[in-house]
Amino acid sequence: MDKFEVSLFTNEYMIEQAKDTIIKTNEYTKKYGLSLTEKDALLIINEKNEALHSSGRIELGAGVSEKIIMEFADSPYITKDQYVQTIIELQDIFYYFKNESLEELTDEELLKIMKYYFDHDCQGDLEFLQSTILENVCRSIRYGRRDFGNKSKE
Amino acid sequence: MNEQQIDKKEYFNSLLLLAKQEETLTMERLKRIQGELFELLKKKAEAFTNGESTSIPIDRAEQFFASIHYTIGVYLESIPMEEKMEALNSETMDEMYGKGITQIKEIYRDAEQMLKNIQAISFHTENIAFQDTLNKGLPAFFHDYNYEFRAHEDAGSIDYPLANAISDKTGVTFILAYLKALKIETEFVSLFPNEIVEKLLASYDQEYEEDLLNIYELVLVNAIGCELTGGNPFGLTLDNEERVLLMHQLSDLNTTQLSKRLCEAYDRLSEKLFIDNPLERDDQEAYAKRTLSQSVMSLKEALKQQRLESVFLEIKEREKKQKPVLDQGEEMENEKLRDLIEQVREMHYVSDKIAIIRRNVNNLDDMAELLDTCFFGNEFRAVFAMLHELELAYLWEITRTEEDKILNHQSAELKEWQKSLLSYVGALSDHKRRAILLLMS
Repeated sequence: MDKFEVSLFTNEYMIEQAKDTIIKTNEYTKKYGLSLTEKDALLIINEKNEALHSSGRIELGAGVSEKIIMEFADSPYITKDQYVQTIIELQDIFYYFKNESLEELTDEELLKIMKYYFDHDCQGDLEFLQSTILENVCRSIRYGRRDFGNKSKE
Repeated sequence: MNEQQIDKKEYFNSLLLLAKQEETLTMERLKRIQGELFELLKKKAEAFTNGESTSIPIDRAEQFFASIHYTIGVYLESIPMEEKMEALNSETMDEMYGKGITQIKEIYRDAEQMLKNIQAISFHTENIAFQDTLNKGLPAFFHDYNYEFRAHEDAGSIDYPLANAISDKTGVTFILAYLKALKIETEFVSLFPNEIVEKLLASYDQEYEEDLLNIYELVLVNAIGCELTGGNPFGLTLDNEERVLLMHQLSDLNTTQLSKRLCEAYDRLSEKLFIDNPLERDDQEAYAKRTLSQSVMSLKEALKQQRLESVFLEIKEREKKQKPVLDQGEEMENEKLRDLIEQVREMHYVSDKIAIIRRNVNNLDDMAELLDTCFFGNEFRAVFAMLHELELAYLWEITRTEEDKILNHQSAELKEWQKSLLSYVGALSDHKRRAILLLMS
């Protein structure tokens, strides 16, 4: 411990807590035929930490993985076999656009926008969601416009 | 463990590392501290994002973390050495942080009062760095300082260099230390005739207004030089003959002897300064002797090179500026002028008003507008005194036109500044008045 650095806070205790929270979402998602194993949860956490690292962010408090799962579970475009991979990619997209939106969007708003377009314009196409839809939304925000309508509330 | 081992800029962290090295805190306790710090960081992030974001950029987290560290460090630094470890072993980080915030608020209040005290000292200089730091940079700190999220930062723009730079502090503790030193320096130079101090600065550099120089050190060293030669220290000037005398007195001394000689001269000077308050006298003495001990090296070098004029200055009359500062330059945009008027009207000291006008106004019609709206009573004299003859001629011309209108019943009354200008030029010597009249034509 040369210095108490912020990055030291990704300790085992926190990972364990995050894993439990993710596993708990199975209770809600099972009605959509979706569930995660402990191994899946650990993979999601690992990938989330990677996404945080590459986007230069740190997570404090409740994790975003759980929120993504709960938001997207009822989407007709989430399939059982692609479930884990989709959650991982949504995490990546979420943190990328959290930065791109200049912190103007709350977690809730960004998730609602992502979900709306994922289900409608993108019909489950993550590439289209990231490279076209969200880029446009964030460009609007950077120019001071929030003309993405009420998608953040739907 | 002792205070000297602790890095003052990273007080809390440095203390923790020492505690770890000396095993005065157990690993278990250190882990607990780490956990509690993380909880504090979480609280900060939640407060910052209104609980609407589960993540924050890492540089922001580091900023909050540095702020938390700084705040706890302020508290720990304020308590005796033997109580520091006890606090780290028994108090929670939340408790220590709370006490740090209380301390910071007190330091902030003390510093703010100290700035007011310095601003009230009767000393004026045209040196821009001094004026800007005192009237803009430091007030900006008090306006912008954020102890919640950026307690460790010393916001504001502090350009004016002190004789004894402060390198071991940050945040509000830096500002307080800076202000304490600036108060000592400003009080000292205010004991000398203001006009002579300004002439001394101009003798150091004709363009001293733009320089990043330390006024205190120049005044102190010259006053000490005068004291050593038996001259009048308040005259602040040393001619060639006196410098030759100093060469004889000082050139054979080694650094320690030289330092001692300068300090003895300060003791004699101190008696003539009539500082009543013993605490202030002690502060002045300690600060002066610290400054002099730093000046010894450059003095020693100057003695070796036989170039004492680089240390002990001779006051010379300043060459008059040929070019009027104001001319018929472009008028300011209305909105900009209105903003400037607002700014000037809020200033208490005429010297500040003049300084800001000097920097911003290039047109005499704008100047007339400012005279009309921002100055009162005796302030006009100070403004007119700083103007070039050509500028006075132009303003006098405006006034004369106005007088003509009154005679033709086209105007009711002269403005206050116009009446003051007439009485000002009326009191000038015939020679000077004629020169202005000549320029009018």
